Amino acid sequence: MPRSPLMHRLARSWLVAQALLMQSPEVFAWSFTLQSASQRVFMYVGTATYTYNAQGRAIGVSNNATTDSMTVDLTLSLFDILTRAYLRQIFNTEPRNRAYGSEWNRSTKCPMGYSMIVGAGYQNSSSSPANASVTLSSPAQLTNLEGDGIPFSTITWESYSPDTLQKDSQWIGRGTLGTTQTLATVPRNTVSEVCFEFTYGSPNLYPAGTYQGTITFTAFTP
Amino acid sequence: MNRPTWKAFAWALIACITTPSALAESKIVTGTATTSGAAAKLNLKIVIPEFIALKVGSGAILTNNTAVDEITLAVPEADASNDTTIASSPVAVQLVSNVGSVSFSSSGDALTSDTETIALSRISVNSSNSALPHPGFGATATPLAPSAGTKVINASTNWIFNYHHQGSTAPVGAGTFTTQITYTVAKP
Repeated sequence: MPRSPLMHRLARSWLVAQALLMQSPEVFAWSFTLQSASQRVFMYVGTATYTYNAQGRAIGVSNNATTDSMTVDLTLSLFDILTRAYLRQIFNTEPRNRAYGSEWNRSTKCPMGYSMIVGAGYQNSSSSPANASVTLSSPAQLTNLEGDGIPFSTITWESYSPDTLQKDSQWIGRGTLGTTQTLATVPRNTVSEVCFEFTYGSPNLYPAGTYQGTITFTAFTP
Repeated sequence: MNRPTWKAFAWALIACITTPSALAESKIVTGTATTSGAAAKLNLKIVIPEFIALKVGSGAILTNNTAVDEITLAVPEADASNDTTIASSPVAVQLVSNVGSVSFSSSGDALTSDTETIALSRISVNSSNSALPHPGFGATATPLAPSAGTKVINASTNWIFNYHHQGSTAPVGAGTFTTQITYTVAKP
């Protein structure tokens, strides 16, 4: 039985409304399928050491024991100090785009200058456990050589998908350093990555100096 | 062997020399070690620059303000020939710095009116906060210790200027006597 024009318009409106309702504010996960393999998890920050197949496609990462960290420099200008302004600034001395780019598709990059790419992968030929988890932990404070400290809780972070620059559905989108947080759940035989950026903000005045501290991303299975 | 090959070799060599090694950590673990996990670290660094900010009088601290306040100590006509003390209204002073102990000093010439002078020693200053006293005029700089932690000073006070008029014991000619005092805070 043919629909009347009114019914047709109502049906179309309903479909449009359903389509709008189904749109999530979060984008789909920026993840890639990995080949099944013996149980393994991997984690990388910035430029990882990748392994490739014969066609030159990244299929995993290997241990990078040469240098175990990348420095993110939150240098505050005097203006920022005096106005107690929040600052988001990352100086990354890595000259190659790979520090910010996805090696899994080689076209998408985190914004250069103030973000860092972070990725985690989980492979398992067995169906259990189904997922790996990713956590972010940090000590209580950054310290300078003279023993002064700035709490890590003065630094907040945000993560977002490299392709849309919006929150990734697989990762929590923001948090504060100084505690251990669960960031993401990575399904079996996938690798997922996000861009991280950090913001320092504090109403307190701190002694002049260079404060350093290390945060740790960890991927693990239950 | 032809030249392009040598060129290619040279460029490859240069590339090898100038291409930095990977700077960030990647880690993979297998088997039962996956329960303890693969960890990759990131170093964070915050650089706080040194600064000293001083405010004497009106206006906001932490901004450069070139306006100079003026205080007036007027001797009533009835006391012109008496020894008396004239007090100013409070002058707000604030010091904020993060460089550790600092030295605080003041300098200025005697007050003058034509050829008449009044020595600065005729003026004393009371401070409402002992942590931020008035430095003696032309005297050795006063050391100030951090008020918070090891390097931060954040202190406020009100100064009252007192002019000790000696109309009876050491009179001066009538007139309007002026001078300008400069206050300086420095990292020793």
